[in-house]
Amino acid sequence: MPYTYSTLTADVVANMEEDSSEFLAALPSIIERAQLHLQRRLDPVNIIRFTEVSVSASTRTLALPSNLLVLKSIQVCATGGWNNLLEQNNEFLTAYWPDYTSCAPTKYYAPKDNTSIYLAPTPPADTTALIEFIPRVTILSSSAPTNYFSENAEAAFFASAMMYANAWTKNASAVTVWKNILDEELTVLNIESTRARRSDTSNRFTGSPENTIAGQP
Amino acid sequence: MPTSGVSSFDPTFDDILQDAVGMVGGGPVLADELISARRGLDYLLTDLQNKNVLLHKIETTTVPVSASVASLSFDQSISDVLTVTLRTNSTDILLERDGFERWAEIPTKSAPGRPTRYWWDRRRTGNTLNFWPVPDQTYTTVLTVQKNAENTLRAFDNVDVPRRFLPALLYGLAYWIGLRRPNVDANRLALLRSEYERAVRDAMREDRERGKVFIRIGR
Repeated sequence: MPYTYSTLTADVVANMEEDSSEFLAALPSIIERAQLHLQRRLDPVNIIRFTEVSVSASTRTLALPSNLLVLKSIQVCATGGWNNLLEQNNEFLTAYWPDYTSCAPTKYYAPKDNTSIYLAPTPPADTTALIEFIPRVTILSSSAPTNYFSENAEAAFFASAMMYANAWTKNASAVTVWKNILDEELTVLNIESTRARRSDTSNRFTGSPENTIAGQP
Repeated sequence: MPTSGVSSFDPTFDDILQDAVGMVGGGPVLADELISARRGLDYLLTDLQNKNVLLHKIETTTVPVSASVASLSFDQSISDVLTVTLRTNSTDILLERDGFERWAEIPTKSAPGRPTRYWWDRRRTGNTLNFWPVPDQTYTTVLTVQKNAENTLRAFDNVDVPRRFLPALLYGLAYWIGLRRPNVDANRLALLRSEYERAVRDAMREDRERGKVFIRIGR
């Protein structure tokens, strides 16, 4: 059953049999740690987002969405449709397009920092880029009572919360128990994510593209 | 569905490079490989020129030569001269080419007159066209020259070959990259080399004159 912030925290309090004011005050942090644990260990296709950003003429940097965690792909709108940009490093971009003040249709991009990327060649005209990315999911809280993890990975979320709650109470043996439960949930969820990706479910080198994991029918 | 109606397939150097790397396998192209592959393509272009006279690099140029000027200098863009004619009164007169030995046998190299022979002296950084006799007046020379392929200076440039040579460049570049990358399977290298040689043969067969050919025995 999907959780909300209040039902999840109530479940944690009940299972911990701990309702001290200190524990209740620590619960938001425990929930945040639990969610970040899931965010970094799960690879669900369902949280992938697409957003359009503006590309400016003669500007070789492109700002990324502020909630971006992992950049998956970029397409640039050009004459005749959308062009996929190819990822490279900045060293390659310099070797490829040494005079970045000159402009031509963009072909490559490279990471610059956490908030922007370099483009090469430098775009010649204002246009639009479509960015596919994995976002930081908003942390579950009383003001954001549901999110992807609370609704679609509820067992893992609960186990993760219990693991961090027991770590807070310094119950090492219970941490181990809940970590084992959590790991099992994560494995199941990641297999589910793998099955949702065509690139992972077909083996390019043997057998039919209808094959499932690792080419096994 | 209709066909595209577009016949201008003309990939840039880095397009060819990405396809070549796909044949070799391994990691993505990094900057140092991009730079070395640019040189690799220049070696390949030189290799193609060593195999035959490439039709697209044949050009005709008109050069005036003044009286008493015994020789003309040309830069590295010209690899060789195929014919030299002297244009006088709208008539082209073909000059005879000498090798360095026959040229050396001429006892009166500075004698003036209307040139009838020439020696194309090939140097490392350029060439010299020597006339005999030394022009006694101003003439116009018409040269059919074989130019060198242009260097691949920038990765986003097109390559100085016509479409018929693109498969040869692709396989040749893949072989070059395969030789430089570690742990490339020897069978794959052998395959790439044989494909390169086949593609070069096919391109050279296509790159031929369609006009009548006259074969002259002897000099």
